[in-house]
Amino acid sequence: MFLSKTFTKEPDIVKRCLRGDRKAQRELYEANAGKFHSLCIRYVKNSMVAEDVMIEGFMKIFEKLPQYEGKGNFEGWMRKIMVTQSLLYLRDNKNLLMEINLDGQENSPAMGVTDHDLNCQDLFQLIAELPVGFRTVFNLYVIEGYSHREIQDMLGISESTSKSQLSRARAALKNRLSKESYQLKETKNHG
Amino acid sequence: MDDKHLDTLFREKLSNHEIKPSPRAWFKLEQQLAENKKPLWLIWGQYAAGFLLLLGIGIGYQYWNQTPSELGKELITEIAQIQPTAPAPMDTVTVEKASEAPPLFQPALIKPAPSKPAPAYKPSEQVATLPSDPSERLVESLPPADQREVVWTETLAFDLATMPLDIDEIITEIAPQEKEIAYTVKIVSRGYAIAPDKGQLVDGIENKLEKIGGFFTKVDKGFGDLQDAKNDLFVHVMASKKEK
Repeated sequence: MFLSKTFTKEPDIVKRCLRGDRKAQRELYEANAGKFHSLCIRYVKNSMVAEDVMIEGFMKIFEKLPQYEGKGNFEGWMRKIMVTQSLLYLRDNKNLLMEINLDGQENSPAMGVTDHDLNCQDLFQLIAELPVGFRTVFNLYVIEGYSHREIQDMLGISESTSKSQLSRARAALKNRLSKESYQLKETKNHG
Repeated sequence: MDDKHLDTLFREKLSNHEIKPSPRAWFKLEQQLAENKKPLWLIWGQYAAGFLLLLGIGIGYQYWNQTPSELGKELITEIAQIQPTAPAPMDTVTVEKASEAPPLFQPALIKPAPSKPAPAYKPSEQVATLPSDPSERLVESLPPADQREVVWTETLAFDLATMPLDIDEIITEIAPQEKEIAYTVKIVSRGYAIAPDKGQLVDGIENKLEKIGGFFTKVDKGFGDLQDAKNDLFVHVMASKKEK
């Protein structure tokens, strides 16, 4: 992780990036590219498209770096830019439509994995197969930690729509997990 | 599984999940960064253009403020039309009163010109001591207290209904009279200097030309004499050869 490995170096890298030091820019990229690429895939689903979105996000980060005041978490600041860039892609390509029902998804083929295969990649795949509206709200609320009010402002939808999308996304994930007979350790631990 | 557990599971597993991008991603980013980097002259050029634009706006704004607007022109025209027709009762009244009353009050209002003091005054008392402020001039030129009351009472009684009482306006109306000062323009000149007679010069030149012509005539004559002498010598030599 960038912050855990080079926490003391962070201000130095930011200063060097501000001076246009290409080596520092590459260091920043290498430290965060995997994480942000994963983030973008969670939103746009397609890996190649997510890579382009991530590159655009890094461009925005380097452009807006002078506006970073050094307050708060630098990684959180960059993550917010990446999320915004992903949402912009979805909006520009008119992919961000809020689904009303889950009929199409409930009839989708099963994943065919067992409980011991459950890992990050499986969960990642489960989210990727959600409809874009469910996936977006679930990502924003559960993974990124935004409130429904913030999601309302970011997506231009009502707060109730955001809650509805989240509820349906959770239901879809539970349905998929139960159908495939996932036995999560966390579920066992919690009863 | 309840919602809380589901959220925790996904958050813990996916918030730090990483998927490495392809190696060409960095090169694409680097290429875009290079394209996005503006040359230094372009940045300074933008600053210079902005400065020139602001400077132009400032100069234009200043020029626009200096130019009288249409409203200002109309006001000036109206004032110019009003001023000649404005009543000037103070002049006539003061003149009339001056003919009746002692002339002490008149000169300060009618002929404030220092160059031509009124005949009723001694020049040393008036022109030299007139203050620059017209209001002070009025006060100083007022007659003694007993006469002053009479003059002011009569003047105000006549003027109150028709003329403004503002002393500045009175002075403004009186001020054009200062233009009636008769100026004597004295043109001092040394006149035209008498030019020397050029005829002598021409005669001198003609004489010199004649002398030069005479010189050439003498030269021609000498040359002719020399030719004759040469011919004589040649004939003499030839004759002596024949004799031999």
